[in-house]
Order: sequence, then structure tokens, then C-alpha cells
Amino acid sequence: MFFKGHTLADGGAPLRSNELFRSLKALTKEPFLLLLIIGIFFLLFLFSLYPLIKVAMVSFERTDGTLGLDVYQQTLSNSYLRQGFYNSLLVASLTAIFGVAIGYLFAYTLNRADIPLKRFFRFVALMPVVFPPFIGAMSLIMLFGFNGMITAKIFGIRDFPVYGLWGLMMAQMICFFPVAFITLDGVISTISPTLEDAAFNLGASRWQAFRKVILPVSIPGIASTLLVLFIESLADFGNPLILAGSRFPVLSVQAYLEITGMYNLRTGAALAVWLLLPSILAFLAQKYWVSRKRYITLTGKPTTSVIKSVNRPVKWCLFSLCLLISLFILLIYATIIWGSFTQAWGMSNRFTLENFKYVFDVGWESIKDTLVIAFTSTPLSALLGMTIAFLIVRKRFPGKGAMDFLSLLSFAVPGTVIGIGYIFAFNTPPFLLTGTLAILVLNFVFRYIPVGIQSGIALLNQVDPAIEEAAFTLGANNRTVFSRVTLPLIIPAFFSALVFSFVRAMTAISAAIFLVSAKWNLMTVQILSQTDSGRLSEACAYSVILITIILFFMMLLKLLLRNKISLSNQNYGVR
Amino acid sequence: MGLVLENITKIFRSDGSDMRAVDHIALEIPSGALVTLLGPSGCGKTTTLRMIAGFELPTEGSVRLEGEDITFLPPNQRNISMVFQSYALFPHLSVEENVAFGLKIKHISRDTVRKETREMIDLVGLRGLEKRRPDQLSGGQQQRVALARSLVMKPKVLLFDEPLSNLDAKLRESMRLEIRRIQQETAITSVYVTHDQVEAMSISDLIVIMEKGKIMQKGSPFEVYIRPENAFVADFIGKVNFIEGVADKQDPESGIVVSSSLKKSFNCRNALVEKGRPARIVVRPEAFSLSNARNEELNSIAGTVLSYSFLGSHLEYIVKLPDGSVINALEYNLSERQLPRVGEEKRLFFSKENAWTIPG
Ligand SMILES: Nc1ncnc2c1ncn2[C@@H]1O[C@H](COP(=O)(O)OP(=O)(O)O)[C@@H](O)[C@H]1O
Ligand SMILES: [Mg+2]
Repeated sequence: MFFKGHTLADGGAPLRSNELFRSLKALTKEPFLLLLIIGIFFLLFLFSLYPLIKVAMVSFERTDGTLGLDVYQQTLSNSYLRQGFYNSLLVASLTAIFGVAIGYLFAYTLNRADIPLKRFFRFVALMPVVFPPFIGAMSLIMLFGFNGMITAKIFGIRDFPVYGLWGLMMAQMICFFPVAFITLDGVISTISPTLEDAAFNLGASRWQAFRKVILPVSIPGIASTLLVLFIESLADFGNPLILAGSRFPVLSVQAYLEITGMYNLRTGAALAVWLLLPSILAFLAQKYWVSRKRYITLTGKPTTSVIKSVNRPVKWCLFSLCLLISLFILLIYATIIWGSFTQAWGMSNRFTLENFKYVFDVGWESIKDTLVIAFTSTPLSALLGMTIAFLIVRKRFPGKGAMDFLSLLSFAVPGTVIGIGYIFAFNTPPFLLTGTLAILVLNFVFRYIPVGIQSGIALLNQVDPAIEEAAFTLGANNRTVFSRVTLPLIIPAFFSALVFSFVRAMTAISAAIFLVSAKWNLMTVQILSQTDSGRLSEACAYSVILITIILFFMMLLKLLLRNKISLSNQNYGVR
Repeated sequence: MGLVLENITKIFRSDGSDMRAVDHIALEIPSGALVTLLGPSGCGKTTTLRMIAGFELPTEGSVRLEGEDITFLPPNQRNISMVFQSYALFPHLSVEENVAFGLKIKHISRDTVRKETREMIDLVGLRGLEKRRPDQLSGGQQQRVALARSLVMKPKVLLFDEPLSNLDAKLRESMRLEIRRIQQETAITSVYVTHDQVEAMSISDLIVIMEKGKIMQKGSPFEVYIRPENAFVADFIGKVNFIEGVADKQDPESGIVVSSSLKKSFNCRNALVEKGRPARIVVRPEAFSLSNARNEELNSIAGTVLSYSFLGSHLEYIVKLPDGSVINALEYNLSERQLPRVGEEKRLFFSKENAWTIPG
């Protein structure tokens, strides 16, 4: 501003290269930090970016070794594949819109209407987070499918259109609307009710207050959530595999079938790229456009202002809608539990424990493998996430923007794409990893670091940086500062990252399905293959066991951390 | 020389707009001295301090400590401690653990750590509070912990960034004296940042006055008050009156400034300004006397009392001069033990010794 012209007069460009040199020179005085940064870049490149490059390379490479884009033309001219692209975008858009609508309905009702059963609604809305993403699809088939409990048994309908667009959308909405709810709940709960009071005082009706105050303020949150759901839905693999089949092809399933079914690597790679493009675009829009607009400070003092945003009829209307949706979600999950105790869902509904015995007999190895993989990858992922958050928020070094981008990129990359990338990238020396534990662990670690990074960044931004600077001036090096000061201060973020990536690792499917082997298998893959071969009751038993394990460890962590968490509730240097 | 800043400059770059926060600061700080960086908010004090600490890398220039170039060293390798405005205590550690933090890192014996920690806690007067957490302490106590935590490291340089600004006025005064006492006892080279000129005057060996990233003047508190080099410094340190005019006589020992608007010439202590160039006379409010005695040695101006305030020990006048400008004057010994009247004519005298010229 003030000195702008002055600086340029000194010779802008040479000065800048000199500055780069100076900051590199400063970095060489901290070899550990330098190595850490280089190491993280190397790992991010190798395990997040390189597999994607590999996918693109495979799609370019003709059988005679020359390069070309012809496979993209082929995929576009094939009507079946083109349909997949179109379907994927359609489902993703619809899921995003309806998912956000339901999420908003829940968030608004729970924050602005004085209704009973709020805790129950909140519980139901968050429940799907801990379930494998494709449970919805399984349950829909059990309820509305060919032998569906509701369609066939109650109404005698055998061809209810659960396979296809609407079924898939329904399953995805059940699975992804919690994401919308969590974000929008955060948005609406920070809008001070005094804002609406002010609008009422100015003579606005309730509807006007909603339209002119609440809605505009939540628009950035809505936009961002739309994009996130769009990405999640595009990437979804389990639900379309179960529900869509060949009648309603989507890209993620097509790519999987091309590669594992027909060994058509080039086409599979091209489809993966087609799948990747809209996801990346949505991610870029979310990160660089929408999220910039979100920092509106609206948090007034917490007021005990009586909630009067909605009148009685509207209130009960909202309540009924939420109740209906909640009951439906409960039905979905109850069906799974019920199914796990039936002899053969749809044919014989006799009570039995055989399914569990079967799972422990046949699937014991996969249970063990799943746990080993989750327990190895989760702490690594959380720790790496916190480390990157620390570097990004607190350190200045060349290439920081790139690190930020690279580490969040895996959020935008559909699991199918990254899974395909891993088998292409790590099937030859020096990175011969296919079939090993390592490939699964690495995949999970790098897929779920964004979770840790984001919660770490959020918490670090609230901690006075002077606290860490004080430690530096007392002679602590980066390692000591991180382990003795930063980590204790952001321990809540660390554990929430831990819980979240544990759940994700336990329920992952889309990338993992490419990476499992005879030696290392996953429960989710077992569930899918049981479902595929029509053994729904066994699939349910697997699911129930999986969910029980997840809940067990979540409870355990909560118990163990009771002291730590209460510690974190103290003021704790948080501004 | 203890700490030397060689033309350090810091430019913050953000999307195309550059901010020159510190602009070629050159400074030598003798070992054992307490130097204050004084200036209005945003003038680059904190940035300068952070370059000394190692949190910011100078865009140009270098920092030397006892002859060694430390420009590129990270903060933890500099042996420089810092006391922060927000205290920045480790919230998850007790008072004792906060103070012992740096010592423990040095891998010295437990007994030594315990002994030195205890001594330091005694020195800053916190005995009995060792087991408390920072959030169980008052602001003043927290500041003592922060001080103890830094001092116990026996740093080569101790940095303070507005350490007292979060305390109430009374506590600020006593803490100020205490910081000075401890600093002199330990003889640690210190750089102290403040925007409060009273604080700076009372605590410093050397004051560096900054504005827009540049040094406007450096000197002892006495020098910067008595011999300001420019209007900014004169105005920033204490209250001041400026009488505008043109320099007349050229003589290093004394000068004459002619004011055309007041139709008078004044004798001054110095002649910094070339003959014929605009000059300003700096007269402090307490340098005036408002008696009626005629004294040829003295400069005098007539004016009318616009208003006054009686403040017990003294009277504070606002006097309007014939050219419309306004003078602020203090009178300590009320000559007739009675208050003046508003609108009354007064004659303001000031001696040649109290008239200091700077470029106009
Ligand atoms: N990290 C930064 N990025 C951009 N500008 C900064 C940064 N730190 C300080 N500044 C700017 O540099 C100037 C000097 O700031 P500072 O050194 O904090 O001043 P002071 O401590 O004297 O109040 C201010 O205009 C401030 O806005
Ligand atoms: Mg400052």
C-alpha cells in the first residue's frame, strides 16, 4: 500500500528470487524440518499424486507403446459408457440437492423450532456416519427388492423400481445427509436468534425473516455442502454396485468392471479419468471459491432469546417430516439387524444365530485383517494429519500451498480412481506392493489425512501462536514444540481425527476393493460379495459385527479419554 | 557490541500488494543495556522484535549477536528469549513446569532444574503458586511466570513485546519498576517494545523511536526529550508546542528564528537549520513561565487565556496567540495563589535554553 511504488523501484523480481534463496538458507539451519517437509512432499507425491498420474498414463498408452487420446473418444462414442457418465452426474446432482434439502430441514428444525425429541433426531441424523456406506442399498433391497419385506410380503409387488436411479439416490441420501446436517447445523447454530428478533422488530413476517435473514446467511454453507455431497456421491461405489447393476450403469462401477472383470485396463483408466474430472472441478470450486465466502461472523453472544422463528403449524409440520425421515432411517438399520438373525432373508424368516457362526467360521480372517489395517492406518493418518496441519498453519516454507493442495486432494479423488491408480502404480519394483498389507494401510493413511488436517487446522487457528513461539525461544526444536506443546493443545482434534479415520478405515470399500488379496481381505468386501451372491442374511451378520466393533472402539476411546477430553474443555490457550 | 541490526528490512507480500513493515533499521545494542523500541501502533516494532527472535526472516540485512551472524538461525538456536504481550504461558502446564520447560530441554540434571526453577520463582515472587495452572493466576502473576520462564534460561538477549499492555494502570507501574530491577540485577541485554512513551522513558537506557518502519531518532530518554531531531519525535515524546518561523543566524552555539506571523524573533539554544530555511522552535509546556517580569534574556509572546485546568500541583493553560495558534503551558508555582481568568492577557516567557529548533 504505502510503500508499493518504492519496493518496485528497488527491483521487484530480483529481490524476490533473493528472498527465496534466503528462506531456503534459513531452512537449511533446521535440517529436521527440511527433511520432514521433503519427506512429506515425497510421500504425498508418491501415494496421492503418482497413482493418479499412473492412471492417466495407462489411459494414454496404446498397445504399440505410442501415446494418444483415442481411448477417450472410444469411451465417449460407446453409448453404454456415455450413459454411465451421464448417470453418475445425474445421481450426484440429485443426491446433492435432496441430501442438502434434508440436511437443511433437520438443521433448521433442530436449531429454530421448539420441538420435542431433539436429542433423538440428532442421534438419528449422525448415526449413518458410523455405518458402512452401502448399508442403505442392502437394506433397500431387503425391504423393497424382488423378495422385499414391504413390497413383496406386504403389498405383493415384485417389480418395485428399487434398482436404478431412485433406489440409488435414496441409498446415497441416507448415507450422505449426515454430512450435510453437520455442516449446516454448524452454520445455522451460529446465526444469532437476535438477528431474527431484529427482523421481527422491523415488521418482517416469519417467512420473510427466514427468506431475508437465515437463508441468505446460510447460502455459502449450502453451496459448499452441495459440492461436498456431489463429490461423495460421484465417488460412491458400494451402493451403485448393489443397486444399479447393468441397468443403470455409473462410472465407478463401470471402471471397476472393466478392470477386474474384463481386464480392460485402458478403458478402465479412461473411465477413472472421466470420473476424476468432475470431482476435481467440484473440489476446486469448493476450496477456492465457495469456502472463501464462508467467513461471515455472525456469532453473537449466546442468547437465551425464546425461539419464535416458526409458528405452531409449521413447527409440527417440520417435526412430522423429521420424524418420518428418522423412522425411515431407523427402519433401514433395524432391517439389517433383523436380517442378521433370519435364516435366509426373503425366503425363510426364522430366527437363527447361524449367520454369526458362519461369519466367525468363514470370515474370521477378514475381521482380523480389517482390524489390523484399521489399527495400523488410523494413528498414522491422524498423526500425519496433525503434522501437516502444524506445518501449514505455523511454518513458512516454499511450496506450502502445494502441500496444502496435495494433502487435501485425496478428498476429491474418488476411491475407485485411487484404487485403480494404486494397482497401476505399485505392481512393479521398486514399489511392488500389490497383495500386501502395506498397500492397504498406505491407501487408508493417505485417503483419510484430510480429516486430520482439517480438524487440526481448525483447532490450531484458535490457539495463540505465541504459545508455540514461546517454546521455540526457550530452546525447543520443532519436534519438541510439536510433541510437548502443539499436540497437547490440539489433542481433541487428534482424537476426533482418530475416531473418524478409524470409522472410515473400517467401512472403506471403493479403493480397497482393488487392493484386497487372498492374504489381506476386508469385511466390507466380504459384505459386498455376500450381497452380490444373494446371501443377504450373512451380509447382514457381517455388517452387524462390523458396526458392533466400530461402536465398541468408539466407546472405549471415549471412556479412556474422559479425563483428557474434560481437560480440553478448559480454556486451554484457545483464544 | 551485544546485538547489532544491520539495515534490516521486512517486506510482507500478499497478493500483489507489498507492505514494507520495517525499512532499513540499523541499530547497535550494547551488552547489558535495555533498549526500547517506541512508536505508534503499526510502525514495525513487533516485526523488528520478531526478526531478532528469529520468527521472521529479514527481507534484507542481517542480525548479529556477539559478532556472530544469526540472521538465518531458527529461534531455538539463538539463545534469545521473549516475553509476549499475551504471556503465552503453556496452558497445560503448572507454574513450575512452565518455568522449568526450557531447562528440561537442555538435559541438565533434575536437581539443577529444580534448584534453578525454585530460585527463579522466588526472584519473581511467585512462591506458593508453583502448582497452579496459568488460568488460575491473575494477569500480573501470569506475566511474572512468563518473565521467570524466560529469565531462567539466562538468555543472551531478552525480548519484551508490550508486556504490560494487558495489565491495569497501577499494576503496570509496579511491574515496570520490577522488570527494570530484575533486568539490572541480571544484566541481560534487553529489547523492549512499547507504544507508551512514559513506560519507555522510565525503563530504558536507550530509546529508539520508530515511525512507518524507520528509525526517527535514537538516544537516551534525556536526549530524545531535550534534543528531538524532528517534529515526530518532539511530538511523540511528551507534550510540545511548535513555533513556526525561518532560521536567521548561522552559528552552532545558538540560533535565531524569526516568526513573521508573530512579528518576533526568538533566541534558540541550537542552530540545526540553515539560514533562510523554515524552522520550528520546540518549547515544552513546562518551559514557559507566565510572570510579568521583563527579562531581556528571555523570549516572550503575549496571548489570551482560552481555558485552564487546575490540577492540584499545577495549572494547565491553553493560550491563544495573536496569529491564532494555540500554546499549551504549565505553571507550577502559582505566583499569586489565585486562579487566572479566562480571556485574561498573559505573557509567556521562555528562556533561550528551553528553545530548541528543528527543521520546519
Ligand atoms: N504477517 C504479516 N503479514 C502482513 N503484514 C504484516 C504482518 N505482520 C505485520 N504486518 C504489518 O506490518 C506493519 C507493522 O506491524 P507490527 O510490526 O506488528 O507493528 P507494531 O508492533 O509496531 O504495532 C503493520 O502495518 C502490519 O499490518
Ligand atoms: Mg506490536
